[in-house]
Amino acid sequence: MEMRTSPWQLFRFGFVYFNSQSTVFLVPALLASSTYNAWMGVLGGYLLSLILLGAMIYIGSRYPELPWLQFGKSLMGKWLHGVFVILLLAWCVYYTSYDIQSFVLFFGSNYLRNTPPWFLQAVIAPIIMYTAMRGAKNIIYMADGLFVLILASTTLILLLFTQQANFHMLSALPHHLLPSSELFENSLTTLSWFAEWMIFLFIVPDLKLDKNAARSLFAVASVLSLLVITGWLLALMNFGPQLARQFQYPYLEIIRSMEPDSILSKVAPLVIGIWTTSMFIHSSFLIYAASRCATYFTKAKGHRFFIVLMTVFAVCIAFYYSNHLSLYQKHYYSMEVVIIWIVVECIPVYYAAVYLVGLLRRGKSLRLSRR
Amino acid sequence: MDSPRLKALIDLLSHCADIVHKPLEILGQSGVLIYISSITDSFAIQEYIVSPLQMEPRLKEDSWDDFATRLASGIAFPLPYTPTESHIEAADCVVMGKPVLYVEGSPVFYCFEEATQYQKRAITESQNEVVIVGPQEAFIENIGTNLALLRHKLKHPDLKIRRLTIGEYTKSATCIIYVEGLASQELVEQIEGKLASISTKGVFGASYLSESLNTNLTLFPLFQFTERPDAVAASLLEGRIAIMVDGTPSVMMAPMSMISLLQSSEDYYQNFYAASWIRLVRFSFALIALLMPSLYIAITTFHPQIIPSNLLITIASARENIPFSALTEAFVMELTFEALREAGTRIPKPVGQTVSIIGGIVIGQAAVQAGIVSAPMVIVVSITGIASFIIPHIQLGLVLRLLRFPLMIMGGTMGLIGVFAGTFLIYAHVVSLKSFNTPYLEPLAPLIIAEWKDTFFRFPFPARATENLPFNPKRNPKGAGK
Amino acid sequence: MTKWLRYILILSLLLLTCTGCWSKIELDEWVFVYGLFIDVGEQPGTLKVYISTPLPNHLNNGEQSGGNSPGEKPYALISKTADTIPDALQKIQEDMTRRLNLSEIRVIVIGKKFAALGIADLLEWIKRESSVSMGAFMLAADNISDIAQLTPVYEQAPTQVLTSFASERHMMNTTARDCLISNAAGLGFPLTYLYSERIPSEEQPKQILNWTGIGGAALFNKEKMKGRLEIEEGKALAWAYGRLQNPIYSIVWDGEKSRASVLFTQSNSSYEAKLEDGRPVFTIRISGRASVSKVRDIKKRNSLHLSAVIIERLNERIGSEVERAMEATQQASTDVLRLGELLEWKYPSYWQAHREDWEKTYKEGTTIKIITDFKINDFGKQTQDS
Repeated sequence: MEMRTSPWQLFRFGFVYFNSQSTVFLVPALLASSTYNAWMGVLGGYLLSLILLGAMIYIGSRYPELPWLQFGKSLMGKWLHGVFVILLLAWCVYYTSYDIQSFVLFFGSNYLRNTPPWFLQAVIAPIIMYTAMRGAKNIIYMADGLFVLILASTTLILLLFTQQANFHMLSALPHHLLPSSELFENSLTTLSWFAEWMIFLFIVPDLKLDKNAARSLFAVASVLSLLVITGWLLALMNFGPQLARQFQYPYLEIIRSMEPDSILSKVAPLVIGIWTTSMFIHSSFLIYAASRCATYFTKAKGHRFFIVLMTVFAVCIAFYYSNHLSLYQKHYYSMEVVIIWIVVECIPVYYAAVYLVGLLRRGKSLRLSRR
Repeated sequence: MDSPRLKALIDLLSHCADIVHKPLEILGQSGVLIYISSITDSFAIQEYIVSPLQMEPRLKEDSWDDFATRLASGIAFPLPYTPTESHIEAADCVVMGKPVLYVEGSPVFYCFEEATQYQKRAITESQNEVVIVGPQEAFIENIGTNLALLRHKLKHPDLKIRRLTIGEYTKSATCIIYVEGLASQELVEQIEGKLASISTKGVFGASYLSESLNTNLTLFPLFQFTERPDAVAASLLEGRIAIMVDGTPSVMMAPMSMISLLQSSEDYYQNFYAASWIRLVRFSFALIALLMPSLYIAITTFHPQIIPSNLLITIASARENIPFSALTEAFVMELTFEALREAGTRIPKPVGQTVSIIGGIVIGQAAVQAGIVSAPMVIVVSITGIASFIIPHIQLGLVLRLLRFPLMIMGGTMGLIGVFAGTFLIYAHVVSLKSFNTPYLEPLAPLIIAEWKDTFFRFPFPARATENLPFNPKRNPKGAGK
Repeated sequence: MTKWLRYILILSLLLLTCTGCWSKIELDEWVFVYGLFIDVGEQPGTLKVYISTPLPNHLNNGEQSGGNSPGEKPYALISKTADTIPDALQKIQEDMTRRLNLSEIRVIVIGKKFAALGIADLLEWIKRESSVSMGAFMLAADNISDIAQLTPVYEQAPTQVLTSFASERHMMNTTARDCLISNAAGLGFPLTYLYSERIPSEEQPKQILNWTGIGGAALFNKEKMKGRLEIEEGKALAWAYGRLQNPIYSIVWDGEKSRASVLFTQSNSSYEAKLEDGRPVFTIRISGRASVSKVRDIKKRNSLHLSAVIIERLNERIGSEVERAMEATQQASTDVLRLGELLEWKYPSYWQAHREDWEKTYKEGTTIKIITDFKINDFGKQTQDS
């Protein structure tokens, strides 16, 4: 069954995919760690992530019809590739558990206080399972359809955030620049949020990784950094740096600080609902990728079983975290997690490096043989 | 006449009191014409079969052998006829309204075409797909008339009609209609193959076929049914395929997308501004039909802070002393409304007025005044009811009405997240549906902006002149949409 | 396998819906708090908290309120004393048949004594309690219990009257958010100060009404009330704060023989900060567009001269009022306009050095200049000569 593609489809999918985590959960981290200069870290992370994107596109386009699971074996050797597959699988499941737990915390603590977290997790799990079972093609279609809605609601929300924002604060930005020693660390932190490019290797049988894909994904990265910077600026301008860093969910606080009968405060839960759909797409695609990784070891059988299994794992981890909340907070914002994320996100770089080395060696042997 | 073949035929048709056996004599040979008078055109029989045999002067000069030769070569009668050796086939012909002629000395039965005349009703206005401006005629049960109506719309030799007979006892004539060059040839072959492989006792409506054509177990209709010839003609020009079954005025169309179920022919007969506005209203109300009760329940029980404060006090005061929870109230009202709707459809006309009065007074006024349900709930349910009737195609309206109930349960037990989760599940399901290789929610998911000219809006015709064929993307210029 | 899976999924979803709803509360089981009033309790160290709520059961099914007997008010006021605000609310809750819902709080009124002690607890509670809207207006008043029992004439509930004091912007319309921002930044904020009195009703002189009105402004530094302004200076401060709407000023000249009244259709302000010789100099620019509603000019000047005179008088009057207001804020060391933020943005190193003792620096070491810039929009419906 061939896929109906349209121009910029991958951009729409990428936008919806990344929209859930970075735009909402990165901003509090930025506010907590810096005052007026977080934008420099974001730009740094953006530029670094472009390197990873380039590596992913490079290696993906060398083998246009083959999914990474297959060509990786020939490139890295069976055992090393297997290690990477397991690493990616574990990372996908762990990230999904973060997704679930952060959503449960976010939604539960604000709108459904008396409901126990396991209930919310139990509601989310079947939805992720069902969506992941639809396959990458349908997930991309769904993201396609949701794009207009998410774009409209994001724009609306950002516009409404400007209502009470103090734009004079912008004059502070040129006066507060980050020293270069901190710049690298901040860029690394934002890099870990932005650079999940190797997940896009899993779209391969349905879509191709070619120049159009590169263009779409580059646009995704740019729009994303723009949105993060805008969101961060609006939170800053609404509250000032000292108050903003005390909030766990600054966007919700902006909504809470509106006059009680204004449009924004009434429309907020519906906008959050629309955001929730992008979170579902994010988690479902991760579980789908994890199940594909798992079927690498069983020769492409038991796809659905693995989806259920991976989702259950993720929910168990989320459940554990919901009972040990301080551990969750500690892990979520720790440097170790940043390092792990970056190690996993650099997977395309390793493969691209091995491929290039192989090319060089073959070029050398060719030159040797010609003599 | 003692021919064993004739005897076999008469045995097969025994105990059929409406069969007429008309003995004839043709140039010295005896023969018999067997037909059922109620389903044959007696004028045609008299004029074109019997009279030539009995009164044609030229015949009297013929010899039997000449006549037999003419008979065998198919030119003996003004009406076309086919020979058949089997008495079973001849019996089939008789019950299908084709007079059968048997002549002694001839080895075969002759079945006459063009003499069939079933009772049929007049062509009337469309009752279920009402249009204010535009053609008013609708299909009837007779496939010949329906094909005639269609031919009146599309006058081009590329309009192809393939005929099949389905149903052991009903032998319904089924036609696959398409425009060659616009519709996908593979699809036509695929449908024809599937239809040919159906073996069933009888087919009374096109929906009997739909379950064999597509075995996907889903609530959502995967075929579009219509009783308007202009809708069928327009769809054929979009590259779709129509399946017409004798005995029912509903024609099935494939492939389709959910958007086509939200469009009405009227959109093309009105000014494009008005049509675009009405389409937008229709889409929003389709969403309201699905989501309004569940959103109302979820918001009033879990998230009252969303409601504007003056409205909040009004709704809270309306809900004072109501014994049921919002969810129960909504369920009771919705079920009552469903019962009312179904009763209104089935009720015999003389009693129809009573139902509307009872519905209005009992449910609307008395229940609220007695304190059983609250006034805002009645408003919500009424708006939802109206919204579900705005959808032009009743199958989709039924589906949305049905899906309202699980969403209400989820909204009433989990709040807004229940509604979002439920809607997302429905969305995931609908996106993965396919109607013969066409994604069900195209052009929304996958997003193809070029086709939006005819989705939420209706752009004026010159803008659509170079439109792609959404249902046969391979035919599109530059492969667009593929 | 997949069929089995499907059944498990459907069953689990069904079971989940039957597990009971923890957060489900019907609308008629809530009490919506529209106003919160806080003052010190009789015992030192305690707080007395009042809540004002509408009574939906007195508004029967769609009928207008007030259609009932006049003795039945559609609102209720309940109060309890405890050590902290959450404790007081808990005590109130314990006596109630319904759950308290704090998400509709429109107005929070602070008593004079509580303000002087410091409202840090209140601000902290507002920050943490996620159901309370930070867009609630904050007001200060002298006698809380009288204010809470004011007689609403045009509205249904007292909280609607109090909300409109802030939302109509005749003085400040400070919200809880503004207070939180100032508190976190170590700066100050102004609140509208209300007065209350008992007056006989015009229609029935035997009936005594609780009347409340705007009496000026209260100046806070961080969380303590440090000073007060009368109405004139309060209005001027509100103009400098940027929140005033449609103020009316009457001016006299020619030895009080000529008068004019102007209505400002637009009233704006902007600030600038500069460091001159290590000393912060703030320039506050007050601007507005006036519509002259009444003029009586003895000397019958033409419109060009007249507008010049009017603008000059306005500059004088409003400029001096703003100056007095700003001086009062300096005296009270309350940086209510958050002028320190301007220094933080433009001169981060200076701010780092002087942040801790900003109160002292603001009182003694800063200069505030006022520039006024008014324009006349129109002279009303009459020409200048009549």
